[in-house]
Amino acid sequence: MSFEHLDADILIFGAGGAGLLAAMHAHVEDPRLKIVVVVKGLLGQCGCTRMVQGGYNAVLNSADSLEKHFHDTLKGGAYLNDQELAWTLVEDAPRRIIELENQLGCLFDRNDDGTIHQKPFAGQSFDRTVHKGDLTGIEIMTNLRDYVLEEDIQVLEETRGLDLLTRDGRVVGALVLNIRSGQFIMVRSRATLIATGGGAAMYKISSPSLEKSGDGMAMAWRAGADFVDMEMVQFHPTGLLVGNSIATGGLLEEGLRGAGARLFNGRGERFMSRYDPERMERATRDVISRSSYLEIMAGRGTEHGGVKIDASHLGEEFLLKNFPGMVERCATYGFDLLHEPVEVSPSAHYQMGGIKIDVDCHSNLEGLFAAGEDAGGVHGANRLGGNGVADSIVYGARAGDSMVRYLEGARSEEPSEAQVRDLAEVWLRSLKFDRGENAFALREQLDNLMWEKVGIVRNQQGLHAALDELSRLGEQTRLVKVSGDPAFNLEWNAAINLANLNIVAEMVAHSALYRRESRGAHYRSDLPQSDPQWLKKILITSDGNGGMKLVTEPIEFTRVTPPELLHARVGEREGS
Amino acid sequence: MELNITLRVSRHPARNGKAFDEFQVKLEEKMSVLDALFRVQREQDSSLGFRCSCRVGMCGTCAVYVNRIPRLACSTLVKSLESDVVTIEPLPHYPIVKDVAVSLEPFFEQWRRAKPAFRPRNPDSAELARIPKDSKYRLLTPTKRDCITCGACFAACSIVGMNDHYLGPAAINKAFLRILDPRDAAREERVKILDRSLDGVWRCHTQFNCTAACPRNIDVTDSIVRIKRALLWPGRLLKP
Repeated sequence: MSFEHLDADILIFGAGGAGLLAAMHAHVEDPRLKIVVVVKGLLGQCGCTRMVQGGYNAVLNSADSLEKHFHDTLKGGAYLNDQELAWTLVEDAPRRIIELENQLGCLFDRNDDGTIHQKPFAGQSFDRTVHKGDLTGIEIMTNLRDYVLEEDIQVLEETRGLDLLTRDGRVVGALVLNIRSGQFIMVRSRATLIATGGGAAMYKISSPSLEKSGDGMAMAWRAGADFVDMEMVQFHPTGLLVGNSIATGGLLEEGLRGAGARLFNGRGERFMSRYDPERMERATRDVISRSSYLEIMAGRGTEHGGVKIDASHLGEEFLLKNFPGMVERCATYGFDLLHEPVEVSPSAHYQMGGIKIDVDCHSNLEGLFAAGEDAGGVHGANRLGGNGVADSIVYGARAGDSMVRYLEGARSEEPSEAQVRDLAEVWLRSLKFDRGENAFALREQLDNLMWEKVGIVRNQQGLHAALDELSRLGEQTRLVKVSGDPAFNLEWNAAINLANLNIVAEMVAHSALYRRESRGAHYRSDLPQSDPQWLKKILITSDGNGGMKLVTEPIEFTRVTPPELLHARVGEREGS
Repeated sequence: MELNITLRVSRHPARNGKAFDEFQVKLEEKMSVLDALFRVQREQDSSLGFRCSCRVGMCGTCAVYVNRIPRLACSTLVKSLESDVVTIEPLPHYPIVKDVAVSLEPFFEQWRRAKPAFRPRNPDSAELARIPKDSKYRLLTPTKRDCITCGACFAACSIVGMNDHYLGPAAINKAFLRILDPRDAAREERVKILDRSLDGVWRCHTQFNCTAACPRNIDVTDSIVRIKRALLWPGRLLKP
């Protein structure tokens, strides 16, 4: 077995908004640092920042305020958010927008008078979503990519992280695979950032780009990182339904509902009046997705098992001007968004949970940092539309700054060759079997299992069954056989994806079973109410034998006391 | 409705001595060329090499030759091809990585030569620039900024095929966008690069192949022509 060797001061996994902002900030702070970015697809052309439609929430108007954005974020998150993380998001978001424009050359849409345009999204007390049309991610990623291309930042394209290398609980590098050549690379790094995005693709209907498989979370877990809020998985309410096509789950953006689009069930009823008569279609994503799902499960779905979004009353002119990308996306599959309702379904979209970090992106492991979707705690039990890309940009930048500070005192340590060899052997095993399980078939099982038992509506019995099945899937995954050689072997990569998603899935299922209430995106049909006693985090740590240990951890309400606690306290006092 | 097609896929390196493999594929009515490739991968030949990421037309990584036309596999419905035989080949003008996946390096080599990064006039400004409604940047560029660097125009351009040095359509469009941007400070440097006789805009023969090939319907040729006009008659660049 041969390895290439590479030395880095900073090693970054992922090249979406978080990864590239981190690279940029670290590079600007200290241009002498050797920065290596590992990206699974093509630079700037994979991952989910690229796919952002709606936009980026930031307080940029004097009639808006940081406090409003903060309160919206907490309310949207059912007060499970880490308040310092949420406040930092809100506070940094405006200056990062200015940086994206004034230093990187993005131009977001303007009002007639030349000032920035902000559009309405759900769960907002002020229209604060900055955007470029309805395909905002292209503008952000193109300009970021162009910056990185001209700077002295090394990018390894079509290359993926396999495992972090540790010494005495400290992360000292990583085992990396060049997907194109099949060659292993042993990277020694002084600081390492996880920014690969999450594992929402492990659901039958899902929106993320196809290569995403929770690699960063799985690597961090195997290395000993702590996780929070893993039961919290966001389902976006309006994923397209295109039969068994790979396009199913691709999104129609939230701005449509913000602008007044309506949802109907299969009987033509505007069903949100049953679930949230006040906010109707502008309720937050958790509420809408659950309502749609309940309609579908109650037999009131559409022909293809969804609901319908109708924007036709907004008029051709308005839709073509404001949502040309969505009109086109529908037209590709023969749907006429301009004149007819279009069938949609909730689509697994985003993990609120992730690696436990502080405001400077430190994980519990020395030398390991996390930012963006890989990190947990910012969004609590539900993320507001428009806060996702803001999170990636804000925390990516903070991670870059933070790693540079960390490096001042950090020494470089040689990873153990024996550890690298052992890890590589494990990954190579599937290529050596004569026969075994099929990675694609197992992946389909995982996607169906998660959708049915660990999805929008959960219950104790289903979660127990899911955990049993996940453990069986884990066993079978170890027996996957892959044909061919290691170079550009998509089947082998599918097997690696599966192994990583299994881990993320297990964390979600364990955590969902542990939380004995319903809150935000986590809904238990056997425990449908929120319980103020459960206003605490679920932390997943290693039990020392590779297993998962779950404990609760109090939330420090450093800035705002949740209303349900205020009521509960009043109740206590009245009762005593 | 069900579709039954013969999918002919170019193999590189050749498999069992054959440059093409043929697969019989059953598809649903609304399935794309990308769906067809996935069906083959999952049901018939897992060694197939192709590339994709977002599968909704935003990432630009699944561009291939479909019946000799550069297209995004994810956004091309098989039904729309009106043909029982669909032939998938790698885009021309690029080195092949495996089967129908190419390396976009020649494209990005030119892209880098066009100096794609923004050179801010006011990098430290704490305000967002006011861009008035009648700004040419606002009027001319919104759709042109939607380039997804899929490489289709570079594959379609006959000049690229004859001249390894030519910047190519997308890189010129990129420079055009920066030149028009009132916030950019490197206009003169950019114009000089585009004016070079060997590899700049003058190589373009205005065949509109790039515009025809662009999956995002960007009028790339228009950008090139505007640059040419501005070089001949300075000051005219910004006329809509």
